[in-house]
Amino acid sequence: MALPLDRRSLVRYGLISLALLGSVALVWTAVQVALLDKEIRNRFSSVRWTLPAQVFATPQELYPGLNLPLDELQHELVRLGYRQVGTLEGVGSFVARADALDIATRAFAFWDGPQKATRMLVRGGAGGIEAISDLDTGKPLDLTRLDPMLIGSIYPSRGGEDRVLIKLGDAPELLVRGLLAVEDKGFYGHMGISLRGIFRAMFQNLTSGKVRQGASTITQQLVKNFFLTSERTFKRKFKEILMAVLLETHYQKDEILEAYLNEIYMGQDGSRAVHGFGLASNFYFNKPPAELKSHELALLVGIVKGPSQFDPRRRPELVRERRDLVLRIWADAGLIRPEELVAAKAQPLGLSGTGRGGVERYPAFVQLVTRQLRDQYPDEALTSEGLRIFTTLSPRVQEALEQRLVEDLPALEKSRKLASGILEGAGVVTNAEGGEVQAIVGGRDIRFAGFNRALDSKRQIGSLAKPFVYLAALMEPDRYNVGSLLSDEPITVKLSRNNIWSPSNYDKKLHGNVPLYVALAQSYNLPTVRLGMDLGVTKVQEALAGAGFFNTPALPSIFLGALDMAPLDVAQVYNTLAAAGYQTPLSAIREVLTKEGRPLKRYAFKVKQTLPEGPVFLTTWSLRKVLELGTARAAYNFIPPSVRVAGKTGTTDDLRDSWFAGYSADHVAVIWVGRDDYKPTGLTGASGAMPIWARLMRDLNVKSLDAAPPAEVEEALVDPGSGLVANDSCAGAIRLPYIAGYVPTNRAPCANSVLEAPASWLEEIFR
Amino acid sequence: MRLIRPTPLLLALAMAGCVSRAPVGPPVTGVVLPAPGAAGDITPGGPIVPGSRSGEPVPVPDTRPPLNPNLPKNVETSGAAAPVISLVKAARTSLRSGRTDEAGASLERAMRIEPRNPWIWQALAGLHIVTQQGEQAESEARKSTSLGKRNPYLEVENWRLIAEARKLRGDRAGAEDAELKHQDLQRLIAP
Repeated sequence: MALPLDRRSLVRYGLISLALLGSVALVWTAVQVALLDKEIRNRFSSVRWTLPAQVFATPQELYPGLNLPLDELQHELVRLGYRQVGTLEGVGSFVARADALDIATRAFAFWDGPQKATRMLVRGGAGGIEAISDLDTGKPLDLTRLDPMLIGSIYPSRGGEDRVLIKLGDAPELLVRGLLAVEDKGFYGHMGISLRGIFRAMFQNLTSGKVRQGASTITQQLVKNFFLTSERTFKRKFKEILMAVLLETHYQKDEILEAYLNEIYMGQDGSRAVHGFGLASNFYFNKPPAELKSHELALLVGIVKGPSQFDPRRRPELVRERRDLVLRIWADAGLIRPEELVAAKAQPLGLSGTGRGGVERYPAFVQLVTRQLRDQYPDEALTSEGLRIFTTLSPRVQEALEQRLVEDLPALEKSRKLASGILEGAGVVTNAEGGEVQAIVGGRDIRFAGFNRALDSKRQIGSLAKPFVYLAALMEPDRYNVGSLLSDEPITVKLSRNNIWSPSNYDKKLHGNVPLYVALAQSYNLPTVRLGMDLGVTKVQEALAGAGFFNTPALPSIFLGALDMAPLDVAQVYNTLAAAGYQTPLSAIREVLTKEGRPLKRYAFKVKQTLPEGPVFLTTWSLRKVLELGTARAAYNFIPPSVRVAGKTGTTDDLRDSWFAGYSADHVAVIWVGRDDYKPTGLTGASGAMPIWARLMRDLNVKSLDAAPPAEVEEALVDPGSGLVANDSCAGAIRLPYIAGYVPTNRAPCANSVLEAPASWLEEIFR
Repeated sequence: MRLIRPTPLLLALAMAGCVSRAPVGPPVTGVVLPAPGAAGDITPGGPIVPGSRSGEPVPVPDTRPPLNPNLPKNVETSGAAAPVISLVKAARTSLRSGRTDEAGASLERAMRIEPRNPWIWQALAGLHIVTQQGEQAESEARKSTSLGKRNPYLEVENWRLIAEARKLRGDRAGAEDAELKHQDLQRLIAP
């Protein structure tokens, strides 16, 4: 039987339910607020602590006697964002005169300690630097260095947020006060929200029926930036207001302002989002915030309103209007004097010319750095701990390599009547003795951070493998020397039961008996295969392993370079030759520092003698002949004749790959040209990659190889036709280097009789 | 990184560049000086890859020119650029107080300025004796000898470094061999 419900109990039940409901709602709201509170606090601390690793180029060393022409030093300063001025101003400026530069350098925390900002006088000219002195004390400086260029950062691939930390105390006063004057005058007085602003916005939104008006405080903008969505609803707005108030209860005003300076979205660079004034300063002006002038600061403050709409590079007129408006607000607020307003408005936008600031200029190189670091640091450490990574990249060498590929590939296409854009290219430059990677280009679109051919495009190397066949031979001085006669006659190699390999020469000709060094210089295939077959595959594998490549297949086809390598792998093996048989694993990193500048890890120089010096010298000597009389003779159209360099052309079947690898006393460079779709290009190593390489070596002003043989090598006068010892009566006799104790003892026929008719290979050379 | 407290001997080695004047035995007549860096110097167990036949001793005629007392005797007199000299000195100071990382950084900086200066390579070899990296030290001492172009004042220390390096690797016979070469050179350059 149902109990009759009278009115009083109904009211009572109603009240109880209401109270219950109210409590539930209260608890729910409290939980929501607590969740929001937690969310906002997590996000806030992540801004303060999540910092991408910063990657720096090698700093330019300066010392008297340095072979750096003053105009190149001036170029380096411009690259670093130093301003050229009439009389020396604050840090980051310089004055150029005919025979000297006055430079106000920036302070910088290096691995081995801080170097303070110095005003210095650098005297010199086209021949290099003659003297350096401190402008304030007059004392000579025997060694100093410029601050290194920031070349990139390692930020998370998801989200893609990048920033360069700026401390509130280090931010220019005009930036901070100017920002508040424009965005939030009452910042230090309000509690996270401005009631007046909200009422005004509400009124306008109600009358228009839509959510339109923002009217956000700095705190609200910061909250909005934390959870970047462009959705505009009352619910979101409410959440934003609540979070702003919560933020204010937890943190000081200065902490919020500092977070804002580092968090606010300032523009887009491809997939990378530019956050904060530190990176924006670099991105738009290629210099630190402390060096920005009032018109530059005004631009940055101006674009905060909407970096996509006010994109300085795409809409300069609009941004200029906005900048001038900011300047007027500043003048009205008394932040700048009226004459400063006039002067600042007269300034152009002053954006850095590269369109990329200093950052993200060298994506191919930064990829290598990231890869080398990933072996030792977890991703999170790289993208969040603000590590400072000092690399081996030389901006000067990198610029030279980039210029070659950017200019020479289109020229090649034009002269060969190839479709424009069809050729791809890649290049690597190292310093010979240190094994440091100085420059990398991963494709003709040099700013593209995608497929990196220098690291990942493993292609057949063709004749680039030959020097290692000859090196293996020269390591057996009782059997082979540079003058040994090799037979250039057809050869068949039985690879398996039904597989017979019959290589031929590139020119399809036979050249009789050819001295070993000529066979290498002219890149003849038949003598090379004969030599390789005589030595055995293992010996050639060992020579390549000694040079630093360990994945050589055990097949006779490796003698002609049926061997896949990336340009960086090639740079490694040629680097060992350039370093006289002393192998140094190629490296791109020197030091890693914490974000406070404390040394974390040094990548110390490593070296090990892995190949004997004498045979390596003989190989280098023969590789010099490639340029003096062999397949790369045309290189001396570009390189001064007094500069000795060594190198080798490489061409693969059907002209699919065009390679050149070679070295001077100071640089090793590898160039590859080909097509991504593996189709033939019609280019040999000599017609494609070699001229690019030769111009590069010219541009780098490389040092000549040391001609003096090492102690275990001696020279002898030899008749090249017979490979035997000659005397004065032998016309055309040449001096050849031998491993000491292994000079041939038999006398050549010419040393007794009259000169015979020269061999056919001789005619080809001296034609 | 583990710091190695250098013994006085190791320090003396690391200070490479100062030609040692340790007393030596009476000169032996008829001693043929080995050509430093010659093929015969490469011993089994050294850093050479197996399969190199030039690793076997070969008779080398002594084509050494008579001792030229004007050859540089240390980095200070080697014609090195001033910053190189100060960096090598800084490295010595760092090494004396056991800061091997700093010493390495200074020497590598010097090497980037003059990559083919044999005295820097010798100092690197000294550093790596202190850090007990024998294989690398021997390679660097050899490179120093090679770049030095037959300078006995340089080679004499390099052989001592190689002897130490071989001791570190447990190659007693090789160490004795290097020590003998060191002593031969000591006699040659003794006043």
